[in-house]
Amino acid sequence: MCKQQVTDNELVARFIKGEESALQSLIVRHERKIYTSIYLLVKDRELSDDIFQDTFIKVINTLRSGNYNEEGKFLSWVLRIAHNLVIDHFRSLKKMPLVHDTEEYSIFDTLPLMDDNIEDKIILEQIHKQIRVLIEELPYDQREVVIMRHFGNMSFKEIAEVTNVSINTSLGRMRYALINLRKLIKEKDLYLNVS
Amino acid sequence: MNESCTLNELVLYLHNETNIIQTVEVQNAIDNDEEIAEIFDDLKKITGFISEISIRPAGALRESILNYARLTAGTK
Repeated sequence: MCKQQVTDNELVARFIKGEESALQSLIVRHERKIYTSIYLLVKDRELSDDIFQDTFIKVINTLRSGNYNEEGKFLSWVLRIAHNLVIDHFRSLKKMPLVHDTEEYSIFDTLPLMDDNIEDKIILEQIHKQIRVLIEELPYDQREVVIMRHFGNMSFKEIAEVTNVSINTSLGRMRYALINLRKLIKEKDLYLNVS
Repeated sequence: MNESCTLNELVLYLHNETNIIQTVEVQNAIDNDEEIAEIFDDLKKITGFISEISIRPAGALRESILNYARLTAGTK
């Protein structure tokens, strides 16, 4: 008989009551998505570690203060916190990543050249690594939407609210991102090797 | 539909965010336009790969967070 998974809300409630293992379960359940999201935004392992820790410190403090009211949206909430910390970091450097809302952004010029003869034996892990590299090279605003939608399961409306843009803008950014990725994958012949 | 509109709606459809009318329109476009069908197929595969990307944080990070939780328990 299948054991039903405890929901995020139940784990949150247990942690608030003092059950530390509930926090551990929440971290184990979501750490990959949260860490991947942070890493893809800041592209630096040490900085990702710091922001990941700071994110959970905020999570812990907010849960204990009784100010958590994101029913059923724990992951999205944590990712919003992480996103704000990333923004704070760039602001502290006074160096927000540039916004390039164009399909013709020069990622094609800046990417390292890949082997022309990609072997037939490319494994899935390699494909993921290549896609990851491509995502890292997208303009920040496009990367942000891709991450929030695919790792935070946020709707375009929610993304628009978090990033202070219109829904059409967040949707357009996703469109640019996907079309950019598609062009690049085709150009590098990566796609043909996917079985 | 112009190209931009088609692409926007395709992206919405891909992420299950179209309303009923848009769903019918996009599905119709995919069924009747080879170029749109090819774009949709490509984007579907790309988003599939994106969602599978996974970077694991170091185990020590989790321990550090749990230590913080232990140390600050009962302080609020």
